[in-house]
Amino acid sequence: MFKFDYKNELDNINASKDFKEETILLLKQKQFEKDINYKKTIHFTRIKIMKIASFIAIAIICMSIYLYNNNFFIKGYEKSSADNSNLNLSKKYNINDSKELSFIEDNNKIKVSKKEKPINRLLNQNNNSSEIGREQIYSTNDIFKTLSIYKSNLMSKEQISEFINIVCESFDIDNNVDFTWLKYDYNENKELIVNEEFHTNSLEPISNNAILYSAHKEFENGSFNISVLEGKAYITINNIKIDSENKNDIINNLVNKFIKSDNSISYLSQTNATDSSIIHTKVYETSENYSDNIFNFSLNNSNICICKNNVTDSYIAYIDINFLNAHNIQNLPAINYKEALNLLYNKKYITFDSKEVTDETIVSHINLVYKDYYYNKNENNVLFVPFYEFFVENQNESDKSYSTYYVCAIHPSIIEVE
Amino acid sequence: MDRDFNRIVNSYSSMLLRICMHYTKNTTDAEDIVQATFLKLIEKDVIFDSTEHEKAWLIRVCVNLCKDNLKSIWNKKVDSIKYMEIELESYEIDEKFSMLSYIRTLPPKQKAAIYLFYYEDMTIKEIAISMGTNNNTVLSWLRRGRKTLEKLLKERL
Repeated sequence: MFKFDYKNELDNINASKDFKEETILLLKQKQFEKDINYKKTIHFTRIKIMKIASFIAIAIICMSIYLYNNNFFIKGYEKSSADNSNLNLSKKYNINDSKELSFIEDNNKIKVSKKEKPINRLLNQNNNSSEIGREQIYSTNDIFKTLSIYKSNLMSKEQISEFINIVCESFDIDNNVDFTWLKYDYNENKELIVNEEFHTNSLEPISNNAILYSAHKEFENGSFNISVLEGKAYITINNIKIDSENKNDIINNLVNKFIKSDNSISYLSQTNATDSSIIHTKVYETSENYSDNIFNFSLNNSNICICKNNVTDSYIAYIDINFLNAHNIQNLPAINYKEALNLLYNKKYITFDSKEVTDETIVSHINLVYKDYYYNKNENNVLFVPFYEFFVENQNESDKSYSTYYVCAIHPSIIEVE
Repeated sequence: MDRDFNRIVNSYSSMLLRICMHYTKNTTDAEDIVQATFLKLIEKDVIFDSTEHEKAWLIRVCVNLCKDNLKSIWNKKVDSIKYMEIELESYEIDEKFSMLSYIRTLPPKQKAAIYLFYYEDMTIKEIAISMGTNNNTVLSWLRRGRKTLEKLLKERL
């Protein structure tokens, strides 16, 4: 009964035709609107995605170009890094402002000659260093338009002697012992020969006019060797017995003696090899002037290096004392490292290495250093000139080593390097 | 998505209207709820496995919309300062004998279960799927609903 009544009642409830048609229309309209909005959303989403993707692509391209230009993708510098666009060799610069440059024969051009190798051999310097020596303050990001050249007034005999005495005192060496001095000069054939030999019971060289002085003395347990060369004294003391605690005191004492002004800093590096330990300290004067800073760091400095030989349980000290007393002659227009690279790949470089630079050569590292060069074909006149120093790794060698090539950092229309 | 709105509306609009009439005496309100149920199809973009799934889904949405509609009526009546007495249209028992009016007095889930069981001839299982519950719950709703109706009818008589 219940069900019958209930069913009858509900049978009378039906959606009317009009209602159904109205509902169908409504649904179709809503579906259409939804489809339109969906298409719009997709369209705008696609546009948005494309815009974002384009932006990212452009950013990646710009970053890649930047990184490529700054040599992030290559381990070093290639010929493509070189720039010859601004190297106008015909441009003339007026450089005769300084009295000290009045010697220039060829108007507006300084001609300098490289040093002869024998001196370096005598002092046992190795240009083919296996250590690039990352201790440098120059960076290829540095921007400068001029660099200075320097000239040196050598210190007096008394000043040189004073420094030598300081070293001897530091290592407890009797400086009154009889020394044999050798004086070297070039002969007509440009060969370095012993010109004079003399004995003295002091370390005071007789004069500064020779190319090189050296003295050597054997002691009971060691030896002392000193060479004085154009403003620098190189001292080697072999087989020293010192306490490890005293080692740092000795270095600090020497550093303090070498410091000339409050601007001087000591730069310490310490390495430990398998069978020896090395402490190296460089003392140089810092300056706000960019050229002065580079010059002082690269050349115008003193160095103290004490190496321990664990086999013999003794020490070797290498000390070079700076007597340069150099002063700035003039600022001259400089080239940047890319222009220098251009000259390098055009074979306008100086090297003591036998390997030539080719178009395929990759430069691992670039430094800016000062080198001493003769000018006016007079070996007694020395100018300190800035050079870009290019390091090229020697391939196919068991130990990592580098060849070095030098390109003058002063504009080539001003300085000609022979 | 392409839906056959003609088929859907013609197949289910009367059924949904009847469900709505269990919750409201007002035909206009009932028709609004039916249209709102169909609009949910477009909004939710549901894909149905079968017609049974489609029917169950529509019933559940319709019942939920009816309950929401009841709540909104309740809130309007409570908030209104014009109405001193709370009156629920759906719970009014018609003075003329009307089974539907008695069923309207039942709780929402019981009346939906009764409609689907007695009028739509759906099985307990189908009702359970449509209402989103289990068989025992549906049986319980039906039992209680019948009991209440029995009581009401006895009082009436």
